[in-house]
Amino acid sequence: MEKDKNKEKEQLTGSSSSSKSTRSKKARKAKPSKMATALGWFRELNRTARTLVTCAIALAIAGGLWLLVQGASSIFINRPGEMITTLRSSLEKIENSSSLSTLEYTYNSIVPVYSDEEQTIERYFVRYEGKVTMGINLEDVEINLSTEDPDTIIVTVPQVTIQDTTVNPGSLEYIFRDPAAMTETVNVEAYQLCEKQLEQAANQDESLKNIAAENVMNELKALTHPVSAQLTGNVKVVYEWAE
Amino acid sequence: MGRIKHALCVVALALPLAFGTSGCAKQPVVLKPEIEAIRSISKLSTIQAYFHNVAQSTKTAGTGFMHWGEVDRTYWVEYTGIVTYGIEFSKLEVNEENGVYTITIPSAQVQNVKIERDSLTEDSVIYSNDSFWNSNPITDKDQVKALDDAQKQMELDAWQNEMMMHSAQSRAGELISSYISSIAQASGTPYEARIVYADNVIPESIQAQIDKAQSEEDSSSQTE
Repeated sequence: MEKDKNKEKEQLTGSSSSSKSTRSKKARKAKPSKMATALGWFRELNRTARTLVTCAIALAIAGGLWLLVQGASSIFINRPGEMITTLRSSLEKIENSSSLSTLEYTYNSIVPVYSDEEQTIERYFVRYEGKVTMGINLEDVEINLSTEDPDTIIVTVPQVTIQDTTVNPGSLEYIFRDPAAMTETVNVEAYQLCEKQLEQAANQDESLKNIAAENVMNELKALTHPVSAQLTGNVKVVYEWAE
Repeated sequence: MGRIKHALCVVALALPLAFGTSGCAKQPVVLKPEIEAIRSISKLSTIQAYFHNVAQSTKTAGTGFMHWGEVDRTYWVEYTGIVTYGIEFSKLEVNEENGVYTITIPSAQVQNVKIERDSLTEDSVIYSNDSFWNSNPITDKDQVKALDDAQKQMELDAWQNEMMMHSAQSRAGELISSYISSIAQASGTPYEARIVYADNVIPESIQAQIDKAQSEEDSSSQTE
């Protein structure tokens, strides 16, 4: 009798334990975790949609990171300001010119700038590049009939001179000996000094005048050729340099 | 004895090196300009146009924590810019047919852009004050860039100035015609001339710069 009762008990207890486990499973199924709830909709998507959503999330994360790095770089990466220039220009005057330039060369030089007249205390050095052009003034060319020979036309060409000197404003570079010399107007001062030096140097240098003179003669002869070819009789054109 | 001599020699050599030449008077540096890149050219300049220029620059404040407290600086330079217009002399064509000379004047060109030296003084420069908190200096490089950019802009404007380009061509026509007629008259040859002006063409490299500057201007105006 007792055995039967125990069996019944066991059956009862056994059945109760199994019913507990099924209940807990049901409970688990009934109460999914928060993560599972959040991703539930994701699981329900088909494969293509899942891939698309994954890509979108990855892009969003990457964008977020990029913004973060940008923000950090704007703080930690130091960049000095830039110089932005616009030009306001108005015509002052027009002058006629008749300069025939036949030779051009560049000068490279350094101007030392001192703070004393004895030139012992260096302030700074400025390097520059300048351009010099040589030639003649075409309006100064004189054309006359020879007094000795009426069949000879004499073209008197003026001596070759320096036509222009130009310092390239973008070429200036500095080395400062005295830090106080680095003022907001240093470039203006330096530019003037470079221009002066270039002009002096160009006027002192006679070495290239011969080449420029030869070029002038060739250009004038080439220009006159169609006219001189039409000259009749013994008429001829002679070129000579002015004194 | 030999070692002592050796040591004395080393000291004698080292002393001037160690103390430099502070005892001697410093000689001023004399630098002679070097001539480079010589080339034959053939340019007839016919007009010089003088422009009153104001280069208006802004040095923006830097970025990053090192530049906190900086302010934008304004930097103006007022000066006279000179543009030389003319023609390529070697491209001139003179042809004679039945006693009539046809002179073909090539396209006008901007031959040189320069700053009138005397117009650029320390008084030509005006700049705003710097920040009390952090300095945003207008350095030598900034100053060079400001003037260089202004001159480049002036050159591009000069190429686009059709009135000047035409004037340069017509003045060239007058000069050449006068020169040829002088020779013809001296020889007693009858002279009749016809001057033909070639179309003014902006070189491709300059046109590219003009287009670039234009697009930059457009994009900056859109940003504003």
